[in-house]
Amino acid sequence: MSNPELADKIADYAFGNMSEREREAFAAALKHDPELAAEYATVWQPVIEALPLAAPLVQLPAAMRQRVLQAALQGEPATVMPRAAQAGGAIATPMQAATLQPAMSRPAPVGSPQTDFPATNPWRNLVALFSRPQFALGGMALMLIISLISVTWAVSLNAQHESDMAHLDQQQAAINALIADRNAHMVALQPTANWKAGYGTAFYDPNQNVVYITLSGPPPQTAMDCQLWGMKNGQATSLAVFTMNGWLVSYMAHAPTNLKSYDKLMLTWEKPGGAAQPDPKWIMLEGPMQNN
Amino acid sequence: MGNDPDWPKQMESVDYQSLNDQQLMMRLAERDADALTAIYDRYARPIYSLAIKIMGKPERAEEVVQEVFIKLWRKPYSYDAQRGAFINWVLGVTHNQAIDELQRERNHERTISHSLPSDGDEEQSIDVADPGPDPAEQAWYSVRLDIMRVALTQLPAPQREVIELAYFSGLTQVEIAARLAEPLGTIKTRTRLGLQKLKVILEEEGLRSER
Repeated sequence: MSNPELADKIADYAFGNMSEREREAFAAALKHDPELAAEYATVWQPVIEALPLAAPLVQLPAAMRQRVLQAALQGEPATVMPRAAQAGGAIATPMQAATLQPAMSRPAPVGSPQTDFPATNPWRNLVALFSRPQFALGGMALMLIISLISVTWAVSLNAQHESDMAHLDQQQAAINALIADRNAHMVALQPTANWKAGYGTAFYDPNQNVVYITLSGPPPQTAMDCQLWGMKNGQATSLAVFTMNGWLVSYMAHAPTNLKSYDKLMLTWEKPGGAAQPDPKWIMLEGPMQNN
Repeated sequence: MGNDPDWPKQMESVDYQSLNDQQLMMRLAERDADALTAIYDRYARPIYSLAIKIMGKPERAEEVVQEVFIKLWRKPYSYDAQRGAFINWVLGVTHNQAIDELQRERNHERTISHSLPSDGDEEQSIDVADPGPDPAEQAWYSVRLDIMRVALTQLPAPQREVIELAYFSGLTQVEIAARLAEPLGTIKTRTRLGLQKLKVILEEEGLRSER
């Protein structure tokens, strides 16, 4: 038997017409009322999720596109961050899923496996198809094939991982040897405003030939190479181009270059092969040469 | 690279129209403005349509759309694909934004003048959404639109009225009872019956289109 007090409020909760405090209290109480929770999940949520579709489609104002996009892009730029923590519990309230800002205070419709239109969503159709007895065998066969492919892929991925680890270990050993050499030095590279997410180090050997760089994390997926530049009196000279390799964070220079004559190092993301001159907007790290 | 200000977009030759919603949102998280444009081109129309249904006036609807896209740009990681389709989520965000605006206005003016959507609204319906880059997805969305619109019109008027007041006008059950001068229990019963009936209609329509 459902709690009558809760049942009284379920419409306001489902339609999003509650304050944030009321909504949280209701959601917590709903977890302890399986009967009402089931009703919410099977009757209220699926229908309310579909209600936005009842709005008749209207034509967009011609100039709105530019105004909206311009306003959005002038705002604070997005940053890559871990996904916001999701509220726990068995009942996903619409609010938890649809909220963009924690301060927003009302539930809203969202999709869920139970609530989308089963007949019109291609994925739901697939599920329904394999639920039928005549297709069950075929479905199982397909699942078996998918499982085999997945296992093969996982084995291959693991082999690649092992190879990368060995490569990384080898590079790390070389760097450790350099550091152990009392004549070896390094230049700390600090992030510029273009790349707030990491830092790096350039290592050079006793003859001041740069041999490695290390990064605190992988570069953006869009970057294929990074390029080290030496700066002297405002002039940039390309010192080395490093080929990016997935998640690896240390790279060996293909053609070591002498650093003696520079007073600052910079690192840029580049197209394959590097560039003739650095573009200021792609300067991600920089650091002064040390007199040692 | 110094002579190529649009790198890396040009370098990659990304076909944004071919990317799915989740891929676009991932690019948004990488501050890719073209991804935002692609999302706008794909979904601005249903978003704007919902906003105008709730807000009533085009200029206020546009403000809602603008807020939604500002939030998308600022916090793209708020979308979790595991929780459902992007279109449902972004329409939910739009609904939140629009209802918040309405309630702010009500708190300010203390008057409720929002008119009920009438049957004539359906005549405002023009056609299906512009053909998008993902025909299957667009077709699926168009079918859903049609089903939902038809389903709502099949409800008895009193039941449809309370559902529309609750969803499109953001009124609580108590407020609806006061507005319609009906007992609260009647409003709750109508709402519940309306929802149950809608569910049955939607399921039937769904099954019909499956065949």
